Amino acid sequence: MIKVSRLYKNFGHLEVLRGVDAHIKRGEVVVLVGPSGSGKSTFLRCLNYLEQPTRGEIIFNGTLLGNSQVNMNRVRQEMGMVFQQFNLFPHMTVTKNVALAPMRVKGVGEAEAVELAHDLLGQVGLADKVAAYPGQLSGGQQQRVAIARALAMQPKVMLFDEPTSALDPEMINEVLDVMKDLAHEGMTMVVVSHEMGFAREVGNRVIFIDEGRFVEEGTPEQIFTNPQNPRTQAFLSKIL
Amino acid sequence: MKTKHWLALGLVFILLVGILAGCGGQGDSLDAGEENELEENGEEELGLLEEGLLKVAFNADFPPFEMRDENDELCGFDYDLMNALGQVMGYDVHFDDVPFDGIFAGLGTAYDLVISGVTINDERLQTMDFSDPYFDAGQVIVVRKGYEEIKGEEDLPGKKLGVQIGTTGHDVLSDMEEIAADDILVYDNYPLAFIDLVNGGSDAVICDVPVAKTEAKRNDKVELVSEEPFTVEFYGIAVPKGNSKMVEELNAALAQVKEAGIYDELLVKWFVDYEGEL
Amino acid sequence: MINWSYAFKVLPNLLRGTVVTIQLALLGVLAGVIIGTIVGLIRVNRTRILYQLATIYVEIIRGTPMLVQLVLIFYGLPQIIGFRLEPFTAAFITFGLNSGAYTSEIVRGGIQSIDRGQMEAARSLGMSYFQAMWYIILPQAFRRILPPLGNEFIILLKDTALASTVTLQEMMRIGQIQMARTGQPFPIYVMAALIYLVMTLPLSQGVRYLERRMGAGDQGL
Repeated sequence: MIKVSRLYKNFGHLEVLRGVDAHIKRGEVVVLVGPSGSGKSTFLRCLNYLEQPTRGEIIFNGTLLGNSQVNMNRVRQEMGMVFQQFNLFPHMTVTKNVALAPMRVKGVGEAEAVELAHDLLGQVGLADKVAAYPGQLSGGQQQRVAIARALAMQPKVMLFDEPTSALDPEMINEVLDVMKDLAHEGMTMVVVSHEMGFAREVGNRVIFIDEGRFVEEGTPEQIFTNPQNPRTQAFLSKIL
Repeated sequence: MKTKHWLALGLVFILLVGILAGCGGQGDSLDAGEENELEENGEEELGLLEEGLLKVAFNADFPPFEMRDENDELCGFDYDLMNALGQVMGYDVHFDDVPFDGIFAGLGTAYDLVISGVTINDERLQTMDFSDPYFDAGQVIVVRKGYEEIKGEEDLPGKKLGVQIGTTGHDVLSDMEEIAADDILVYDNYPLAFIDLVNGGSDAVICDVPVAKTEAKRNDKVELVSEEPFTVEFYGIAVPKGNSKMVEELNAALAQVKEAGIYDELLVKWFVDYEGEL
Repeated sequence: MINWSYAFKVLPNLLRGTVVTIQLALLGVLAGVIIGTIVGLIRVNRTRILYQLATIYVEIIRGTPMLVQLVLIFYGLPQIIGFRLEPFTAAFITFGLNSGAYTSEIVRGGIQSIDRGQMEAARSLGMSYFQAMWYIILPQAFRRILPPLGNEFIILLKDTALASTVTLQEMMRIGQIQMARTGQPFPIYVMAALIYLVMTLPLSQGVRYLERRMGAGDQGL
């Protein structure tokens, strides 16, 4: 579904990604782990071109991205993204947050969009919060709204950028549960996260990234219990 | 801190004005010999109400001729001119501020003279005498060169007419009933009025003769419709009917003040440098 | 000290002038918001040529007195373009350009104060840059720029007195004409000050009220 080859990304003189190759298949759940500054978030943000790669190719569903012929707005509709800081729109109700993009981007009618929003909010367990503003919700609730918002565009793949890092511990599971449900439904997911439990339960593959390169990849079992590369071992010993 | 600064600045300003005014006063004083000569010419014949004192009335509500300054002190062109005349004639001058509509009633009984921007006209000449004119308030019309639609005063109604705010020209137009208020374009100063005349914003500019001639000399795009003012308006000093001696003395003093250059200084002070109470 | 009966006698005349004053200020600030939003967006977006043009515009307007601009536009421009603008038009253009320059800085600051995550979230949903600006960034920025915008309007309202320079009979010019004819400045100045206050006080109160009200729906910030 997504094929990445020789992807480089520089910020000024800083090389954040140094030639990354990856192939993410339909229905696969890929978990990226790595120390901070390793380039894992940048990799994710390059996938939907929130960051423009310096060099390299990304082919999504057979389309080569970055080509001037390609309408990135259209491509992004098919790649949902969930951010560490939720990034909900604070001036709108939760329902409007979810319904806005279907209405404005896809041209869905308001009634239909609201119905869709209510359905999705129900799926993430927030049926009683449809009229609330983001500021009235807890962090866990906000992140669930953010997931519903991304799902509203019916994406083919979901990108999660450290979705639980900004949450209080007691709220992490409510978000992970929603993500697990998604995985079980067969959603293709790329997740930057250090949640081992999540990775073990639903992850098909774990990639360890360090200093802008993919150092090691394998099943969650292989990476977490029997890492081969000393850098992977050193990193895991710190977070386990 | 701030307030103190402003106070200090204000004080400095007031002092400065005071000093400048003081200098002006001294500059006006004439040769003592001339003063005595005039005095000897017989003050009894002037028929003054109070010996050695010229009692003068005006209505201090006609800037810049007569008015009150920020300290409520009397001042103005007439005020300065009358003081200069009094000095030449050898009298102290005392001013009364009297409402204009009843000012002539007291002429000869409550005061010796009236100097209050009084226009000399036939009607007044029947009940009082006047000194020689001391100010020509006649207005002329300036148009773009070649503009044919205004030949004189009678063509003014319906045209866009420019004046500087607060000038005689402004007053004259405001008093002409056949001219609509909206047709009077009021400018901050005459230079801007002339630019807008050239730009086509107005059809004519109404101003004093010297202003018009100066502009026409340096700006070849404008011309005077006529050098003859369309308003005959000379200001004179009103004297009780029949006091020819007083008229004579005033005219002599006026001539002397003009000759000494004091008159021109006052013109500059009140009509060039003075910006009005705006 | 103040001759109140005279002051009240000139009041109707002054009020006639306030109509012009209010018209100018309203139209000026309206043009200012439109120009300011466009220029502010250009200055946020940094497209090279447009950005430089916008910067030149803002710097020229902010760096020169409004009186000078007004005189140049009304008295000077006809000598270049060959025709003269009506006084109201010239004043409107000057006030609009001025308000636009100041508002663009207010808009720019407002937009830049919005967390960039908002733009990213909107774009990640497939919205175009302009959709994201229109639906997500500007509504949030607007709340933040409302108070400085209100102040800008109050300043503009007072600055309309400059329009007398192009023969517009706004309130202060009518007052000056009265003064010139009567030589009594203080009652008129006091009356004018009161009229300005009557106009500006509700404005600043209104801005404060709006701030409070809109703040209630903006609890995420």
